[in-house]
Amino acid sequence: MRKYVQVLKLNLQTSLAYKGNFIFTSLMDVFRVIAEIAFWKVLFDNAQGRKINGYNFNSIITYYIFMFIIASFTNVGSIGYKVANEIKDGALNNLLVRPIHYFGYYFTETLSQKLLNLLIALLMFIPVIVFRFGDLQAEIPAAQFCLLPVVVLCSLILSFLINILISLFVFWMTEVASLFLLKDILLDLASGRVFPLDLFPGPLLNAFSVLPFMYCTYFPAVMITKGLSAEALYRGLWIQLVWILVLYGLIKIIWRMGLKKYTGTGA
Amino acid sequence: MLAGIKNLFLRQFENKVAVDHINFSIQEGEFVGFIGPNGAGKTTTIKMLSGIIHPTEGAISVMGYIPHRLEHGFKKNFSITMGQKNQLWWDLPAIDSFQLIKEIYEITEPDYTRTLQELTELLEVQSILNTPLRNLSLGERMKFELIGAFLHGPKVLFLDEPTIGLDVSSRRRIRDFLKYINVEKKVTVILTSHYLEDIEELCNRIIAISHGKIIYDGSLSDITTGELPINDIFESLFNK
Repeated sequence: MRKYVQVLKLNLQTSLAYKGNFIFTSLMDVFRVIAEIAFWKVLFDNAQGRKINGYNFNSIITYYIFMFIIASFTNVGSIGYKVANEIKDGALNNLLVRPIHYFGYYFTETLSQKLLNLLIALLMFIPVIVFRFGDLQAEIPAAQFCLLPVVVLCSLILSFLINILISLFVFWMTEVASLFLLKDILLDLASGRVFPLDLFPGPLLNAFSVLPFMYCTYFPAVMITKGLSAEALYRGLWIQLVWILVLYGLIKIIWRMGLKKYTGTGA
Repeated sequence: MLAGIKNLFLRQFENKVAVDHINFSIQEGEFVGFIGPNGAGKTTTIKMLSGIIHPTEGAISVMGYIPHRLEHGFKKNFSITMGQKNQLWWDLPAIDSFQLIKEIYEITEPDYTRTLQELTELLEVQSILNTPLRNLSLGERMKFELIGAFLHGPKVLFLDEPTIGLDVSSRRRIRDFLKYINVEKKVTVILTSHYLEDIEELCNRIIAISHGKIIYDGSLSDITTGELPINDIFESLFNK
């Protein structure tokens, strides 16, 4: 366990070594939220007080802000690129020969970055929440509040596993940049980072509810903003756990197959 | 152009055999020079010995372990350093990377402190332990890479061109270091290098490989005639 704590520490140190880069990345996210808010403002101004699928301007902004805070923690697209590149250019060799668990190592690295991102996102939005700009509505029942960290952690693990699974295709494809672009777009959409998924027609939403993607962001965001019945919450948590096990199993199999093909290219 | 389009639809792969039916065994405490021209299969062999890649055929045993099973017991007892790859953290001082290595290999505090002090003194790098790696010269970085490879006290050390691109004095210091760990610490070392002095000064046995096949395996000097086959081997390998 201590080795992973050390990995966490070193990663925090590296992130802080590049303060400028880190601040600009965070700023980029802020502009994204501002752009989304501006877009919905125009839309609702023209809808003249009507609701869109049950959303009014306030509830949609609430969704965006909480979704953004959660996504800052659970959106781990960059780790997939990193793993894929390490396999491609042979940097994986360095980890392969050391007595440490590869995915444990990568997960720790992700966790350290995500903790920093979450911290920044919270700092940015605490003023918004405290001073009640735009009348935010969080409907989460007090009883479910203690389960929130569990759900969000499961979301992170799920999102991590999906990204790792896709990155492993690099064992067979050598170049996965295009696959990753496609993945980012689909994952953004399917996990509710573009707009709330209940704007989709019912049958589509039902299909999404058995796939893992919406449990990466949408599920915890709805849990906070709209509130879930106890039944819906436990069902979602179960689906998260089942997918985590399924994906982890798949990754182990594909990893073993991939290593047989691995050539450790580049010196 | 046409070939390029054809290639898009009908891909043809050619299987290149990098290492072909090589066979050798190395005793504990030996210092083996593994030599051959670029592309001969040296690195491939070392990668197979350290478990990074799977052999398509044949069997390998290192300290009784099958390398590509990547068992922790195996990994704790060997180390691999490649002259062209960084293993330490680029943005951080070497001391931070060493702390990580200490935790990964579960090295005890007294062992760690003693080994680190001994090795940094030997390579004279105490004064730059706290400088971020990216600000160091190639030679200084290589010295740290070697320390990093040796902190956990491996029994077997694979070194793939550790002296590549270094100046004469750095190379000499690294040679002294390697001699020390082989003689004093009883570490078995397999070294690849394109520098004749490295091989001559360090190795008591050489394995020469060309096009994936072993063309010489034996001592550097012929005991009966006193001749140096190493010179001929270098000649025939590199001056074609």
